[in-house]
Amino acid sequence: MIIIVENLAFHYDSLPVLKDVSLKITDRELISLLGPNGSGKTTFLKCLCSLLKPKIGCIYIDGQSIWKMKPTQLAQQIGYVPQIHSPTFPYKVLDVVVSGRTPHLGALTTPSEKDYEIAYEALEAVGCQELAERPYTQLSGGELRMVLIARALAQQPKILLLDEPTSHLDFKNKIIVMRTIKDLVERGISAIVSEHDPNIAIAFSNKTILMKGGRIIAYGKTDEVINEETMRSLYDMDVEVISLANSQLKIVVPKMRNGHLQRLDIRRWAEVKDTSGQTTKAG
Amino acid sequence: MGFRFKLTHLLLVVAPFLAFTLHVCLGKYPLSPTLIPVLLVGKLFGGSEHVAEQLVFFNIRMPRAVMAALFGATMGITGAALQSILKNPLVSPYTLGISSGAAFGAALSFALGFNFLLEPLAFIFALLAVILTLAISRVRGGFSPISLVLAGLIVTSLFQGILTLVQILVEPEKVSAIVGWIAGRLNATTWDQILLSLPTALVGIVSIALLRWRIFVLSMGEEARALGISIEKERMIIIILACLAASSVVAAAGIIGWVCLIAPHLTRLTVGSAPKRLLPASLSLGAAFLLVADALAKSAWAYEMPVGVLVTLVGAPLFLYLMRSGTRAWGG
Repeated sequence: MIIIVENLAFHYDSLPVLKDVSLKITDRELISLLGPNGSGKTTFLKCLCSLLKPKIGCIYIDGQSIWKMKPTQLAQQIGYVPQIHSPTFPYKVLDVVVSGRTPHLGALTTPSEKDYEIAYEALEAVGCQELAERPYTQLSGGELRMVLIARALAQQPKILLLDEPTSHLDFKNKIIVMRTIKDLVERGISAIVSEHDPNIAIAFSNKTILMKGGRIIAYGKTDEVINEETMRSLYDMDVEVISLANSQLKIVVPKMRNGHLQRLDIRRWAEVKDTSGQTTKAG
Repeated sequence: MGFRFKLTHLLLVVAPFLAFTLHVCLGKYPLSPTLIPVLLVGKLFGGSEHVAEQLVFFNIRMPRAVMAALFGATMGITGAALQSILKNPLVSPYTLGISSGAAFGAALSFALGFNFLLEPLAFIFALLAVILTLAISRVRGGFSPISLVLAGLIVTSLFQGILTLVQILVEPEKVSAIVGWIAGRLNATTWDQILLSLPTALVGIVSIALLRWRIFVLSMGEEARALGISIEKERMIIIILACLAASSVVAAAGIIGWVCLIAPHLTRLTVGSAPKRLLPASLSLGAAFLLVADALAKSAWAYEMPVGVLVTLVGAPLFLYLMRSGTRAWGG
């Protein structure tokens, strides 16, 4: 399966968020999407699953424009895990997961036994089967994230979009979530994961997109894309990329001088906010 | 768990029928429940010696009970459906302005003397009211829970204001008809009224029940789009169906508030919010609640009390209790 994005541009009212985004995504890839706050990552993911409709540009899945596909048809191809989900009603976890079966159901039908089995398997795939009967209003942040990933899995999509799946998670849960996503990719789907930590991108993804001010400034193999120069231009901060002694892993750290972190110019923060626009809406 | 579960289901099915029996038996002229089969047989085959009872039962008690059940059921299921699709446990046909819109439409048809336009006008103004509410409360493509409730309040008082204006402007002999009808009463229900509202109410109820899975997925919010739902379109379809059902019963019985808010909450507390059960259970509890309330309204005092007043008197404290004890069921 191939996704092609051509000259995508998006703006909220008059505020431009995405500018001339083009790229091509192929099978079985775990792609990290890195960029500062407000660089358009969330907006880009929402455009990909047609939650938002841009005025300019096209997105094709296997040659077919996603705007011409029925919502059901698109939902069979693309699963989406939002960054924030605030539960209103205390639905059972299994019911939430089985809602992922909706694109495979008729308009007037309810899920069958088979759909519940698929939902349960999706919960097992993320290691949360023991949560099945719990009300999803009582889950911890990490559990809720896993349940939402399970819901997207029950959808049986070819490509999974995850908006900052590691945000608000502790050190270990971040790794668990990313490990789970990597397992899923190894089983044959693609995933695009927006992320704030370049080290997570290095550790898990084969490709990385760098996004700044609504533009893609680099896209390619993760170890080629993430280097001192690109990180500096992405985050407006001096960094060092260090190779770890006994592994091929590299880590990105802020540049040290005499063993201390450099003082950052706080005014830069305001400038970055001004140029990239919405910091709250587009994470 | 399994046993309790089945018992709850059984109760949900039985409750409206029990309430219905209670309702038809109580009144100025109490009937024994054992007499009901006798009366039914007498009606079917003729030649019954209970002529007076038969008259009371079929011409007064039955239509009133059927209307109470229909009104309660409609408000229960539409309330639950609207709460789900707008992700807001505080909305209902009453709080969104649907009821007062329908009431205004109905009063307008009285005032103009176009009684045949009762139902269509009630529906049109119900829809107009809810669209107005949604338009006012719209923030960035979504509806904030607070703004939705406030907008509903604004639209409700707007339509109530125009309704009062209509009462002032029409001929005095029409005023008493409008006033009596607005208070929300079931005592004058006739079979003709039921025949008028039943088809449209049933169309709304059955369609909403059939769409219950879509309604559940819509309660997931924006992500429903990523699950293959055309949010705007499907949400509007549900709102139109809810308006259709709610306006047709309001056109017949006037504004009886609270049922539409209490029934879904009672349901969430007793059977939970499970997507397949919420709507049927709200329907059942809505019918049972209004039947019991109206049975009290007509028999507990020496004089007849409008059920709308009684439901408000019972509903407000009951809702307060549900709100206090039910934060669990609201996900708070």
